[in-house]
Amino acid sequence: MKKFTVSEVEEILNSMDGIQPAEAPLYMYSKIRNRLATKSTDTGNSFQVKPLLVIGMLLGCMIINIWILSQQKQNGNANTSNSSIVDFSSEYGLNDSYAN
Amino acid sequence: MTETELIQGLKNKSEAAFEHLVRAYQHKVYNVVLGLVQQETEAEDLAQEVFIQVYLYIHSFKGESKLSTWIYRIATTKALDHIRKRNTRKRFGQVLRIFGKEEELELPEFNHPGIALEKKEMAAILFRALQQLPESQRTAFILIKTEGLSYEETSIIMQTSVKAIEAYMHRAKQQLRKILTANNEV
Repeated sequence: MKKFTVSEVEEILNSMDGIQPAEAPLYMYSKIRNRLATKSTDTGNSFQVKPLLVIGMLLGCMIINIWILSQQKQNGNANTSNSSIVDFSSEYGLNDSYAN
Repeated sequence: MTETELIQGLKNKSEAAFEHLVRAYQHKVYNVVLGLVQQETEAEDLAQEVFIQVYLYIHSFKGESKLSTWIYRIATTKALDHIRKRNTRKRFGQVLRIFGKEEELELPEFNHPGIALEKKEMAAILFRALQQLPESQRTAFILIKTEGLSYEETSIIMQTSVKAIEAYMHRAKQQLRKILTANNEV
């Protein structure tokens, strides 16, 4: 925690006077060329991998959805047919053996 | 190599033109980015990204401004984006701290390599105080003070008027005085 006096503040504000520009680190150009080379390789790979991954995931989702829907349909059919037989038998006072 | 030849060379993806561009602008770009992000490793990384962006998107340069202006604009935008991301991480770190996770939140003291030895301590305080200024005031201050650009050049880079830059500088100094004289941690 520090509070500066008015003269100190002015000194701080003027501390950038006469500043020399900072020099970039050595081998900037070579480093950039390396990064560009890596970038192009990465981009090449990602173009091959990403669509495959996306298509695979979509297919997976579709298969799971179809499986769930077909399961629900089967269960639904079984339940409806079973319940209608039970209703019918109870309404006409038929034996349980007919229902099963 | 004239600027037109350089731009044409870059558009043709000439290696010689790109090397010429990097060698001509590397210190300027690094100096601006360093002044804004105040961290050497991050500044080097960002400066490299600036040149990669110039190389990849030179076809979008329409020649309405000087090439140097366009490069300075990319450099300041990249540096400011980086600071925004760092501040977000910092806020997230503060949240983690509440849950007992320790995160490095504060930047270490920054000593600009171009400052004379006797002024280093004072300049470090100024750089820390600069972090509390709004982006526009901080950018104008850095471009003018560390890069030595004129108000006019700064206004072209920041895509605003000279009057606006004068106002930014005036308000920046006022705000810095307030920060430094207030009972704040600087």
